[in-house]
Amino acid sequence: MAQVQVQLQTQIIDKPKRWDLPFSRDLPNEIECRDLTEQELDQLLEAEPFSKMDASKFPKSLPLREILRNDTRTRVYHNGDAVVRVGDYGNSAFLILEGDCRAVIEGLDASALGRGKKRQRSPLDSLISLFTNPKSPEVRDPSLYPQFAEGKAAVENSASGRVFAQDVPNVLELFPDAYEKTQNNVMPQGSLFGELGALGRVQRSVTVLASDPTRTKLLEIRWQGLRDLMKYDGALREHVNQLFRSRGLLGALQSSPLLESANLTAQQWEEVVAEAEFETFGSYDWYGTYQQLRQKDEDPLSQEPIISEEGQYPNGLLLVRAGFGRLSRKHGYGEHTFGYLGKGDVYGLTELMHNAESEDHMPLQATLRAAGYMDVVRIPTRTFEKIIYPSLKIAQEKGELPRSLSGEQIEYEGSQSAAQSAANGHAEKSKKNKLDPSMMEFLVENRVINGTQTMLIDLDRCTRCDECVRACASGHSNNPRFVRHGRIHSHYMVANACMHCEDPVCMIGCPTGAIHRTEGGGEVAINDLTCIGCSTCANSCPYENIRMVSVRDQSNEVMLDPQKGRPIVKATKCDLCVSHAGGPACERACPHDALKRADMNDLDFLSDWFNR
Amino acid sequence: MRIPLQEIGYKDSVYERPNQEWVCGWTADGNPCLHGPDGDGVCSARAQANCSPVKEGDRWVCTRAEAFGGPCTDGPQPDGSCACPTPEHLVCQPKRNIRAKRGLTAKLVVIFSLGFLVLMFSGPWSQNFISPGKLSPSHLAIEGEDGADNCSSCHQAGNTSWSNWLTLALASSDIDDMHDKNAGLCLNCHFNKDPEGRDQSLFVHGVEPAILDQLTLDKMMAGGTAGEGADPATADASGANKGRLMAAKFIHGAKADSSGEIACATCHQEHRGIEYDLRQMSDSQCQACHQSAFQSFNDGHPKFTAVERLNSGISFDHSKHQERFEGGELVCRNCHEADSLGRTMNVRAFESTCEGCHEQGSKDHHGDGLKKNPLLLLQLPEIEFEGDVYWPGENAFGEALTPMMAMLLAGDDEALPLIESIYDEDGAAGDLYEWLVETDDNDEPELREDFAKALKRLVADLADYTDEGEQARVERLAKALGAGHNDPNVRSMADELASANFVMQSFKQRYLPQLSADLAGEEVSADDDEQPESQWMTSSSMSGWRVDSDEGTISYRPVSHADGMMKDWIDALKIHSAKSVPEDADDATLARANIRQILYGELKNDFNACTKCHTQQDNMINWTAAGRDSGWSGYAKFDHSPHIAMLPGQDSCTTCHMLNTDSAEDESMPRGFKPHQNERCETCHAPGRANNTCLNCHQYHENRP
Amino acid sequence: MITFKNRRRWGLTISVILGVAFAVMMLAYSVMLRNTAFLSGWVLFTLMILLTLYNARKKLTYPPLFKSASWMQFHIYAGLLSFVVFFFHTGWRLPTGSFESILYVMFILLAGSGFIGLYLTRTIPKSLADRGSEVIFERIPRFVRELREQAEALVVESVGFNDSTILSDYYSEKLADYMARPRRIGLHLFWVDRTRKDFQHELRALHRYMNDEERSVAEKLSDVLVLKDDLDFHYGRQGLLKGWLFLHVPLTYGLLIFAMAHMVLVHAFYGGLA
Repeated sequence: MAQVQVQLQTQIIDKPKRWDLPFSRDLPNEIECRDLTEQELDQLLEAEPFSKMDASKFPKSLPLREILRNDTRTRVYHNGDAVVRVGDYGNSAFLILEGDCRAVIEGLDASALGRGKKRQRSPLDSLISLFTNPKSPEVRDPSLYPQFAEGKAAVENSASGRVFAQDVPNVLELFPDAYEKTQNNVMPQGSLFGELGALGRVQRSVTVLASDPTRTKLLEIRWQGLRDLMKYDGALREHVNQLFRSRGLLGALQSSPLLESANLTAQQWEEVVAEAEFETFGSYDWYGTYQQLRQKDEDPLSQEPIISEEGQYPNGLLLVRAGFGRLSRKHGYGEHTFGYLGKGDVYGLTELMHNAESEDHMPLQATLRAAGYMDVVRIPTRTFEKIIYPSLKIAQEKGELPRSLSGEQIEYEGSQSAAQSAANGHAEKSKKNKLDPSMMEFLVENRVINGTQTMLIDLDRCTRCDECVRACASGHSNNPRFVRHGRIHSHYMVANACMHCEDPVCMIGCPTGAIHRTEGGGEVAINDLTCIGCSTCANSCPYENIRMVSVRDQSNEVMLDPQKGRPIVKATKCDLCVSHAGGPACERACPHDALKRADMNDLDFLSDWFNR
Repeated sequence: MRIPLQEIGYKDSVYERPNQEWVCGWTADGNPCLHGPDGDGVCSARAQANCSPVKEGDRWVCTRAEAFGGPCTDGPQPDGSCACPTPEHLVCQPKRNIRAKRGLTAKLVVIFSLGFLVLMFSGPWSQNFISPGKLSPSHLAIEGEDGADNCSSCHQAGNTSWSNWLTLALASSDIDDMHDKNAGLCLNCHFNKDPEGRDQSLFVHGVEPAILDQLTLDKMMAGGTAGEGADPATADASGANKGRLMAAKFIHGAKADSSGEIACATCHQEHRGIEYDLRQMSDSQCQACHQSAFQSFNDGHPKFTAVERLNSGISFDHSKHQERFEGGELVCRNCHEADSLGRTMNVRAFESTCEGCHEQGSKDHHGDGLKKNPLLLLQLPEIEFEGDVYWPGENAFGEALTPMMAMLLAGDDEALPLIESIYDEDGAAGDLYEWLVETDDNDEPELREDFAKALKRLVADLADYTDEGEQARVERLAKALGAGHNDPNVRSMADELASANFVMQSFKQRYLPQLSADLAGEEVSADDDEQPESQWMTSSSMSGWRVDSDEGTISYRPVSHADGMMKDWIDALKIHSAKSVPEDADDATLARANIRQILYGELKNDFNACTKCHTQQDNMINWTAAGRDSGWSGYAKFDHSPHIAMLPGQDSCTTCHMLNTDSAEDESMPRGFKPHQNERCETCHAPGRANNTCLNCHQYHENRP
Repeated sequence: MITFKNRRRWGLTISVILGVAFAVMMLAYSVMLRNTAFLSGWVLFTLMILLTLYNARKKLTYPPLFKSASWMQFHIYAGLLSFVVFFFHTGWRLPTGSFESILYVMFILLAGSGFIGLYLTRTIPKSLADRGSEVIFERIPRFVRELREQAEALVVESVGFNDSTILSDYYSEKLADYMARPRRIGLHLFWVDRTRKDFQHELRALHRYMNDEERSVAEKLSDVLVLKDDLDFHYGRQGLLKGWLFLHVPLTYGLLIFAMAHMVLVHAFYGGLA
């Protein structure tokens, strides 16, 4: 390290590597952040489940002990602290070392969970930053980088998923009858939770509270570590997969708006859970195949596994838990894409409802394919008709049934859809959502549907003035975080700006967890301090929205790594101006209303915007 | 075959940085470097041409990045210092991006503008440069040869330096106030002679606000012109005008206009170029203040009232006269002719008009009274004395005291009490004979002697041709009429008497030859006067002053129409008998005033011949047919000449002046005409035809600047 | 979401109302024999300041001051109004003084460039979207270079076949210059679209002197030419979109300075002698 100190003047820094910043140091508050001591590690290795693991199975490069040292940290919570919050995006799983926790399914309001508390600059700071921005591109303060910031952890943009105790005054006190609310599922010592969110890149499905009267000690494992542990230890893998199904299933069912609207009794719930099945289609790292597929332009449909096919007997109700599905119908000799399903949508409801109430059976009206990968929960037809249909019927007659749930998001202008909408009494639906079919194809084919903040530019209005780019730069210390080009359909461009995907595949394979979801908002952001410039994410991103830049020091010189003399690179992308008030600057800076950050699941908005 | 130009892969396309002021110098050639220059426009390749070598084993190796030229062939110096040559193929001279160029242009423009202004403002040409335009012809003189070299004659900032303008600009807050300051400057030339006009000239119409308000009030009372629709909003105005007036009302609320001063610049705006007519105004400018609002002359202008009602000074009913003429028709131009300018039609002289018929009347132009006895100036009354008094015995046989004598005697302080007693209501009441008898009865012979003395003094004064005499006569008249020595009547009467001087002397010679001695106090007797044998009189046909030895009188017979003596005498009585005398005046003044009134009472019927035609108004007699503009509103004007030119035929006048032939005669129309009708004018003065603006018939300034 | 059509309708209605209101105000003032120049002048100046502030807003990206688009709308209609106010201020007649004439011309130029700019920003983007592939203006030189290299490569290839110099001659005498940098900009601005056809015809005319390989190369070459043509089109039009601001923006500041000088003058010279 002495040598590094010497070379600080010339601003040549060690090429960042995974584990430059141990997980236990990646913490916002100075007190907690420390290295795990050796005997702590020993204790861990002696205790379950690590004691069961065979250290020899681990490769030289990734010894078990080092994984624990660098990818885990111990946290202490007190009675009532929220460990994870429903709806948060977390990158880590938790193992209970001491005490116990309780999963709270419902009943906790946001304020109790200290929501809406993002680490954000005040407008004044934003204003000041406009003038204090460095003049040169990609200037960094090397002294913040852990490579030679000894003992001092990076405070900004921490990736920790921790909710501070002061955010949540003793929650159990807020809910005296916490036990009923929490449905009594106490998690004893040694149990693992949070792996769902960590591995599945989905929001936390439950809130977990530390409920031990004295103290609860948890081992927090960031998902890269968990991933490796699972890879080299079969037992854990099994365990996790098992948890994954059971909890995931429950969570998926409980988080489904449809089942909410059909308010079931606890006993009905159990039945549904018992009957429902949990299925996954496509490949978890779908983007790989997708990119190959883009090279050789084959019919994308051929690459997408069929989940259930048009014309077949609807053998169950499908609730989409994660991933995307393409809805298509036979049209001429080919198939015609007329819509897609995302998280929270259901498939086949229309048909099932129809079949349940009448004799003549309506077959499935559309083919559902997994665009990329898709997690669905299938509720068998009989279960549906027995338990869910009656209560749904009531809800529907009351008109409480949310429209977006009635199966397909987009009505296909055609006789069938007319029949359908007549069938499920949503005639008005067919009038709206006039989304040009070819546009629909375009969106699905390019997987743009994945985006929640996709940057759309109307080239008929865009004067190419680059105000958006400059605004973006002004908010990111004089660096643009997107490029004003991209795939174009008719006169609409999907610009190369991070779409903040529903399913952020870029996060897969990041060795340090530098790329993460922010608390609460769930925007995908990159922690510049922990990024090692391996460009895994840039390669993973199917949309080419992450860019590697070589950084400069304050003397405007490009930093180089001493050995090869290669520039130090960092992954950069749009962070949706998360650190500024007022949302993405690009959108507000466009003088001609040409640019919009659009949520691809909000088709009502899309069709409105396309038909301005 | 489609060659995709724009690769979007993150490897193929780095961030485009339009926010960076400097771009790589190679951009134009189409191969910019990877990093580009830094924020200060320094080429990265140049800045980082040198590496910091690292030691591998025992030798130093060059660590220069590919982006900056890659490891150099020769490698570092033995001592480990870098020896890389500058990679010329990479190094560039960074250029500004398009936006930065724009910014630069803007800056240059700003600098240029500032420089240009400073130059133009500071130089000798500054006044010409900032002058907003040429002045109107009447003011060109102010400009001077060089266009604008003395702005200072109207502008404070005129000859101060441009650095001073700012302070002035900040100082000048109230615009109206500035107006007035400017106006002050205008008045330096306009009204420079007439200070009176100057004081008022900034008032509305140049008259005291009070007067103007009164005028308005009268009109409104009379339901006359200005009165109708006192409220602009309710005025019978139509269309655009309505809106305009509403707007006016909307703002008027705050500001009352008729009071206060209006600056010249409010209407007369300069610097509009040499063709610009400073005096051209719009109707709306008049309507701004006027209570009675109407669309235009053709739409809502008040009916004409005044003009034809006016008495012209000679009472002459045209309609009456018409049938008296042979052919029963009245030819206007026989009696009327245009003045030199042709503006007003005047009445021709009496001799060339009325006399045609009224010849006889004019020949023996005596009033009823005068016919019998011409205006009697002097007749010595027959008086009997106790003692011996120098008094022509047989030649004094007058019985009455003629008004003119009485008047002249009243001018004599000593005689005044006598005259007073003669005209005493309870006593003689003006009858001299009666009075003489009274004095006898009351046994007051000395009064008769005093009276004789007064008469003798009078004769002496009248006969005196020296300046003293002149003085004495003026003195008497002034006192008698209770007027100043320079009073026009006093003067003219005095002159008339002076013209009678020689007659007086011969009168004196005949009847009181020794008068001067007598007045000197010597003992003289009428018996010593040698009696003239011949008769002495002027023929009865003769006019002017005449004497009559049979009667022993001096009398006056009018020469012709418009006889000066008569005029003066009547004026004197008429004017000075009517004028009021303060209650607290001394006895003498009161007495004389009383006497004047009595005399006028006696005589006025003698002048009916005159006053039949010559109208009287407020203690004046109109001797001449007055001009048309007397009695009009001072703000209206009319020019006959263009109209006469326009109207064909002999009787063109009657197109507007229509005789009121119908039997029912209208008291209010003494001249026998029908009232004027707006329609007459409107037929021509209409939009698109003859000028129908306010200022065509009205003038704003009461007395022209 | 409000459609552009409705937004335009609203904008126009409001500005017309404001314009009329102002006109009435002027009328009322003149009816009162008040000096309208000062009122209209200050209104005009205020408008100009507001219009200029848009530039400041563009620089302050984060403070929550309305969307840039909203400002743009305001900018357009306020500009329209200021034009009307300007004519009221100048009394609907040409200025007679030299200084005022300069002011007058500057304003007309500024407003005029504004209207032209509005027209361009509303029309050009469509034409750009309709033609060629979307490219970033700053990168056009690079693409020109790439195309040139492709073309030259093709020509060299053609020479490869039995040393025929048909294509290479044609290239060196006709195309070399054309491929060197963006060309025929002027034509593209006015949508005169002859270039590509000319070249294609000429190339086709050369076909009869070529063998099959050369022909195929010529075909490829003409494809490249088409791309180059589109590129020039984009270069010209995008350039115009940026270029008109070179008039509009600098003039703004010049005019502001002149206007302020004008204000100082009129206030100073209004006073007459104290």
